[in-house]
Amino acid sequence: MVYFSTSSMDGQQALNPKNWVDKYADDLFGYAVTKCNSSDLAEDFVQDTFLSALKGINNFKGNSSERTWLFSILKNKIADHYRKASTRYEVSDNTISGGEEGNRSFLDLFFEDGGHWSKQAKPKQWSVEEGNVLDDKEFQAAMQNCVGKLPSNWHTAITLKFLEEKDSDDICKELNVSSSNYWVIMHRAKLMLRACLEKTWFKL
Amino acid sequence: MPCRDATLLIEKRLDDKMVFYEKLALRFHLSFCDGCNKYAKQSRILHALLTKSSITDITDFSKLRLADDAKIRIKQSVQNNLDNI
Repeated sequence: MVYFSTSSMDGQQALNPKNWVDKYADDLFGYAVTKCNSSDLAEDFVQDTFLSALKGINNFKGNSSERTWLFSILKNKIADHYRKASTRYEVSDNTISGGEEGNRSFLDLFFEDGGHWSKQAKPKQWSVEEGNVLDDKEFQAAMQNCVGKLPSNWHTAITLKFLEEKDSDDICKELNVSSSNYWVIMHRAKLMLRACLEKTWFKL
Repeated sequence: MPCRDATLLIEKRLDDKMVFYEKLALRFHLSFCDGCNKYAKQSRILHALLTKSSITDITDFSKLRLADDAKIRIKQSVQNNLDNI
């Protein structure tokens, strides 16, 4: 029998699993949806998070809040999911770039033969300032939407990088790609993200 | 160096992964290229946004709600597991 305190002991945080769904399910769900773009999948993540938390309840040291602890479990669940997905896609040199030919035709959308910006793709002034846009929830949502449209293996790389705040060297190991390929992925993912945002948000 | 390569270096720079000659080449390119200067500024914004959107303790998901039937189901399964501990 495990004892769950409903109040703080010695200034430490306590766990109260009976209230978890009411207190945290919506927030966990909201976070998961923005990460995986699927409410079914997000629902599974929320349930898995609570069940894993119960299993690991003795590992809770009370150093962080119940909420922070549950979020860290959720983050791990999502990262695991992407890790598994990435091995299914067999990320290799060819699937990333589509070979040299795929490489060129993708970049041709943005650059002319000499490698300089094509007229239509050359970056234009955005009508925002960095400080303002960071707190703009609608802009955040537009960006998440664009992230969701990236090809799956680029999506994986971006998600792993920013979800787990991993160093690029670690992601290369995990996805089994060379460092130069990693930068090719990031470069293209950013080019596509920019293009998507300019179209859907800035209407440039 | 063409813009195609300069923009890749700009991404590398955000992660502090450029080697010495790349730094020189990029600095030279940015000294005259308006498009890439804009790209660099905008890419930094995207980078900051992506970083920010994955911070653990995001409190404002007011628009998103888990469906009630899912809540009931999940509550039940939490309760079942609680009983088994």
